[in-house]
Amino acid sequence: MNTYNYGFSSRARSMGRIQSDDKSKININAKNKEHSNNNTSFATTALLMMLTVLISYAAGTLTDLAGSAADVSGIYRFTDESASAGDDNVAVYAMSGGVDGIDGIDGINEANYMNDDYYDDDIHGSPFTPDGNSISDAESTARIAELAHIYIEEYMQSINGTGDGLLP
Amino acid sequence: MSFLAYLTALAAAVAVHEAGHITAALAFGVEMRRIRIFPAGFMIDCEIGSVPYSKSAVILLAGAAANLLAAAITALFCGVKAQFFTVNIGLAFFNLLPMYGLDGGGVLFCLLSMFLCGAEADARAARITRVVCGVVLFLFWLAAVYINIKSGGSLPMLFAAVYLIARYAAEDMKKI
Repeated sequence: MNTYNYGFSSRARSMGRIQSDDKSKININAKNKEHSNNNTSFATTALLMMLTVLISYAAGTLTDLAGSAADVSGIYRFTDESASAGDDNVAVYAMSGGVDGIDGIDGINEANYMNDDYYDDDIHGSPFTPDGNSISDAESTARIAELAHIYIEEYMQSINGTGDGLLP
Repeated sequence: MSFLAYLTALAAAVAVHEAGHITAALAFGVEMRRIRIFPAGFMIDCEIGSVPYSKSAVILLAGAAANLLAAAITALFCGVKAQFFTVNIGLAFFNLLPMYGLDGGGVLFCLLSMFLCGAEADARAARITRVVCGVVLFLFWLAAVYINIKSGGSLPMLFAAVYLIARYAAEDMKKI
């Protein structure tokens, strides 16, 4: 009675055990010895692979944190500036919670703009940046404002049929 | 969607997946002595030789099939934007990757053992499986590194990569 490891490894082990009774025993043992040497090298490779993934995770996380900090500073710098009707800055101001009823609405709150995936999909992947890269900080900030403005307009249209009801 | 909701959906999808395996095993009349549950799946202790390769492959595929069925039902009632739909689809296709530690690796070995002929067909199937799993693991590792850097550190990708590398190393150490 054998334990069947759900999958395939026990079959292979069992097969090796059965074959160990026949005349090819010496060859199998030799193969195992050679394989054992390979195991050492792969164990090192496996550790290196794990280490690489771990380092990439740490690097990615740190880069993400640095990027988020930059985004926050960029947005709040805009909120300090005066805004006028139709100005994109208003949208950024709204994103920061400056307009009642805007902050916290799904799709346009500032938390979404801190999210890299959202940022990449909706900013870099948007028609505003056809090439999807090589845009300066100033340009990207302006486009965040432009996109946020569109979101607010769409939201206002959805609740009262007009796109300029809430914006000053 | 919060992280807690994601974890709940994932746990439910894993339960559906394992239920698929167990249902198929019971349907084939596989005599199970013990089921051990791990974070990455489960392991059945049963009579070796009682399950032909064809049935083993079906049992292995049943997990992904259950996830696809759950995804279809979810899409029908809740739409394709539901978290449970996405998680089930992801789990199904991820498990079908031909890698050690995933159902796809077991299916590959079973299919190769069924269709390869001649002496030591099992051994050749195991060797081919090892090579294929190694290549796919390498590609997965590259993807994990890329996604981690690109997306600002992906914890699921980190765990998956470490688990799969460890499983390949463990399988590689077994003497075939």
